[in-house]
Parts: sequence; structure tokens; C-alpha cells
Amino acid sequence: MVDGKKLVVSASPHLRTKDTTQRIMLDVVIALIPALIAAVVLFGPRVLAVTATTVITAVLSEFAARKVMKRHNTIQDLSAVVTGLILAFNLPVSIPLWMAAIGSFFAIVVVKQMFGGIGQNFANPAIVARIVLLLSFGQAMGNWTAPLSWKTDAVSTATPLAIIGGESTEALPSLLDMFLGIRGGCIGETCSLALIVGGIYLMARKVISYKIPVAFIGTVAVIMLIAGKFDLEFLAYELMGGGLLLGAFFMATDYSTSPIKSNAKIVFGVGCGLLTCVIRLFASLPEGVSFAILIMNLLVPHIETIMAPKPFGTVKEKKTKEGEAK
Amino acid sequence: MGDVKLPNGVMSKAVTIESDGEMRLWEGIEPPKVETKEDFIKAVRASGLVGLGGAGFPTHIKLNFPADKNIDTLIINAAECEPYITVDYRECMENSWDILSSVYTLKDILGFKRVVIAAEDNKPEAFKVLKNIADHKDDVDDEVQLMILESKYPQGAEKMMVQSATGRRVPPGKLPADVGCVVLNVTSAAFIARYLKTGKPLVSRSLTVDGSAIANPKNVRVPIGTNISDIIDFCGGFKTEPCKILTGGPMMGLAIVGTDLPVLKQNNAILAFSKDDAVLKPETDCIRCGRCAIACPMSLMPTNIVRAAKAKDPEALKQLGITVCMECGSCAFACPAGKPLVQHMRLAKAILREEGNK
Repeated sequence: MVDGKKLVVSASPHLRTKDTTQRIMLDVVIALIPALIAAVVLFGPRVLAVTATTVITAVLSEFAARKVMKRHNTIQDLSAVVTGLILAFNLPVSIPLWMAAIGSFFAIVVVKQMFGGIGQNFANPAIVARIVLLLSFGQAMGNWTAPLSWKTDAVSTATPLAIIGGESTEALPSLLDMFLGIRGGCIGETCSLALIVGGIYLMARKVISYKIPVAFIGTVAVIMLIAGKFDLEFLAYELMGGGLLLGAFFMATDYSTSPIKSNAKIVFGVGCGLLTCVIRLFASLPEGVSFAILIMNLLVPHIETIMAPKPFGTVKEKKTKEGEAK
Repeated sequence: MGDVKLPNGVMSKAVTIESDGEMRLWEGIEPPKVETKEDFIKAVRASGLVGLGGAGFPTHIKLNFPADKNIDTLIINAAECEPYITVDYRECMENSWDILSSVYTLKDILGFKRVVIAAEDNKPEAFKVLKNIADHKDDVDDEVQLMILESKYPQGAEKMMVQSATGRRVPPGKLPADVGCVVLNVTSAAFIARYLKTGKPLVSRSLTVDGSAIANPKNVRVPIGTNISDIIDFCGGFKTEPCKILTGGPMMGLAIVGTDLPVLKQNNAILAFSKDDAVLKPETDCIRCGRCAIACPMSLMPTNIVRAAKAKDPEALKQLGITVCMECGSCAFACPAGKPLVQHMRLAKAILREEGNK
């Protein structure tokens, strides 16, 4: 006989997955590392200074915000680290560190913690912070350093999408350069290869579903194919240019700000793609991924309400009798 | 005669039988005479049979369906109801003649047009046996079929079983009988055949004894009412100190407070876990990853139900379809934040009930 006092009694189920929030966030960090390494090679050691600034500010802001709001500490779940990394990836390497710190603080405190912390924020913190910095410090945020020029003298350059948009007369980088990331742009968005590797890792680990990235990138591909009059080269620049891959794999798939069910995920991804194309083709901005994701973030509750899944066995009211007789 | 505490903590009247050690059948035991459907139902009732898969629903009620329900399909459920448990598998391997006999008896007496024997694909040896039953020479019109289903939890749950075997979906609040199906656990079916042959009622059952704290895990056949501590001693006792002991499977089983408790009819397993497997991870905040909704076999959105339950909003709960939740535990298993989602589902149901009572 066993002494009952030593036994644990709990409600079923008694088996739980070994996965934790921390492990999921660690996977995202791991998936971002190839792009970080690529960025250091392309844009030099200053990448690490910017990244360290955003990550450390994010973690400290989260710690302080939770303390002030008298809530339990959540920095060990690593979500603040992920926010810091993704924000850094969305900044130009030349950004003054204090600006990066402001962005990180804003992302964590205003966008994430003030709305209840992890899982509760309605918009992606890194995206809102990027947009706030873009509107506040337009010049610093639009100052692109040429890749691989950090060893000698850093020279400025233009982004491929700006060149395509006719804002600059510089020569376009080759498609291979685009794929490897040898082009102007934000720290973490340029190396398509590293981003795709990271995205595949996340899908293989089942951290993200393929639905949002595929719907997002697929929609952009279809529209740009038509808009470019079936010019495959133009299409390739559009797909690898700007923050499309970074956004589709790492930002649009943020759990808190994307739908849960698969069909709603597809609608969300298509919406992101559509808005990105509208902004890139018709607006005065060369780049639209952040705004597209932000707008779709706001629409998530509506998408989920309209596309609410039917509980198992629910039959359409009119068909009830026929359905049962079948 | 006295009071006995049941595994769920309820006190119940029980008769304590002292064994004379001879294990003989009583002279009065004889096979029931079964000629009509009514005789059959009466016999099943007299046998004391309940669903041996774990739910414990009285079988004579299940089989006594009204004629106007248009029941055409009998599903013999050989999919194990939960992980760890292997009693249904052993039943297929050891008592295949009983299953065979039962399938054809049930088909003839109750008039099923079709019998589907459903098993999971991780038990190839069981199929061979069941395949022989399905291909038996008496089955001239091939009305008995074997169906191999994907091994996944909760494949053995009735509604899942009906969908996998026939493609029909049982509407919320309805039973398999409403879509023309009766689902019978394979061990229950085998028992019916044995009872019709011998007249020996349900006085014993087989169960799985397993888990990281059990010295010699095995399947045992025990008299109903056997003290759980005796069964564990029979299986070599504990190899490490048990931290949690369950009656039933790991997903829906009941954690018990001690081992001085009797085995019940529907109890298909006793599992004992050491500390490493028993302590649940700490609960953290929901990150809306949606794994609960992917896991839910009933297409519910557990995370939204939790929100509605916290807001005590019965209207929203009804909209979210909480009533179809069968508490299988898939959502809570999948949750990386370690949320006790099943408790939230029960709370949500309680809120709806309370609203209904107003």
C-alpha cells in the first residue's frame, strides 16, 4: 500500500508535451542566427553593437515594465530577445545606438507590455517600433551602407527597390548578389539565403506553419509577375528585395498577431501580400512589408471572427435532415 | 457488506467476498437461452457488461436501440483508447474466436447490414487475426470488413471512430446511433460471446499495469473489486518511488490518492509514474501559438474558450461549441505554456450549466 500523502493528484491529462514557450523562442533565435552571421560579414562588427543594444534594451525594458506593473517576471521566456533581434534586423547598420534603444524600449513597453505582455499584443512590437523610428528619424532610418565596404571606408548606397523605383541611378546588384545579401538594406533583411535557411528550420521544428509565408510570398509573386508583365528578373528582385523574406518568415508568423486556424492564416498571408504589392506599386514608399503586416495585424480579430471554425459534426441548419439520412 | 471508497473518492456500498481458494464456477451458472433480440438484450443486461474501453456505458442500453433509428453499421472498436494501454490488442490476439463469434451473432440478432472492425496501424499482428475474422467463410456478401486506421490519439473515441470508419460525423449533442452506427469495444464484444457460451457474468477483466514506477509492467486478468495494491504487488511492486498513480490512461485517467482501492468494471489500466514523469511543468502565459486548436479533434478553439470562460460569457461559450468537448486532453498535452486546458473546458461547461439552471 502506498501512503496517499506522497502521491501527486492532478486533473487529466497526465502527459504533457516537453515543448515550452522558452524552447519555441529559442528556436526562433536559432533560426535568426544565420541571418545575423551574414549581416556581420556584410556590414561589419557594428551589426553586433546594434543588435546587442536592441536585445539588451528589450530584455531590461521587459524586466522593468513587469516590475512596475507588479506582474511576474517573464524575461526567461526569451520573447524579448526575439523582439530585440527582429527589431535590429529591421534597422540600417549606421543607426545611432540611442535610436535603436528607443525603438526597442517602445516595442516592449508600449506595444507589448501595456497590452498585457506576451500573447496579448495586437500588433507586432518590432514592426511598430520600426515604423515609429521611420517616422521619427527618417534620415537615419534611410541611410544605407554599401555591403562589404566596412573594412575600408563605409560608403552609402541605395536599396534595390529604390533603384527599381527610379529613386536612384545606381546599378542594380546581380541576382546572385541579391541572393547572398550583397546589397543595401536593413541589417537582417538582405541575405535571402540565410533567411530561407532560418525559415525552413522553423517550419521543420513546427514552430511556424508554412501557410502564412507561402500565402504571403506566393501572393506577392503572382501580383508582381503580372505587374512586371511576366518579367522573371523583375519578379526575382521584388521577392528578394526589401524585407519580404524577413517579414514573411519571422514577422507575419508572430503568434500573438496572426490567426490561429489554417484557413484564416492563408487569408492573413494573402492580405499581407496584397497590401505589400499595393504599397510597393502605387504608394510613394519603396517598401511596404511592415505596413502591410501591421494593417493585417489589426484585422486579425475580424478574420478570426468571420472564419471561426465549426465545431465537429456541426451541420448546416437547412440540410440537417438530409445530412443525417445520408 | 460495508462501505468502500471508490477511486474517484465516492463511498459506496460493497460486499466483501472471502475466497475459498478453489476458483470453481457456481453450479447454477449456465448459458442464457437467446432466440430473439429481446432475449439477447436481457442476457447482455444480466451479464453486467459495460463498455470495457473505459467509458463504462451499460452495453444493453447501447444495443437496445429503437428500430426507427435506422442503425445499419456496427463498428467493433479495436483501436486502443489511450497510450500505454494494450488490453484490446491482447484481446484480439488471445480471444479471436470470441470476437469472431460475437461479430456474427450481433450481426444476425440485431440485424446490422455492415460490420466494420477498426484497428490502428501500429498493431500489424492484430490485423492478421482480425483480417481472418473479416474474411471468414460465413461472410458471403463481404458485409464484415476490416479497416485499418492511422494510429493517433484519440482514434478510439466514439465520434472519431464513427468518422474514420464511415465518414459520418456525429452532430453536437447526438450519439453515434443518430448517424446509424453502434460502436462496441472489441473486448466488450468478445465478452458477449463468452457470456453466451458459458453464462459467466462480468466478474473479471484484463487491464494494463504500466508506467515508469512499475517493476514488471504487464497485462493482468483480475477479478473486479481486486485491491489495486495487490495488483501492483503481483507486478513486482514499485521499482522507484511512485509519485502519481492513475486508474485509466494517461490522457483521461484519474489520479488516485492511494492504492487501497478496488478495480472497477471500466478500469482498463493502472499506471504508476515516478517523479520525473509525474510533475507537471509550471504554467506560463498563453502565447496564442494555436497548438491547442490544431490538436483538438473536435475543431474547437481552446484558447478562445479559456478567454470566454474567464469572462464568464455563456453566449460566447455556446458559440464556441464547448458542449462537443470530450475532455480528451489533446489540447492540454500540446500546450507549450503548460495551461491546464481541460480544467478550463470543464469550468466553461459548468458556466453553461449554471446559465441553463437560471
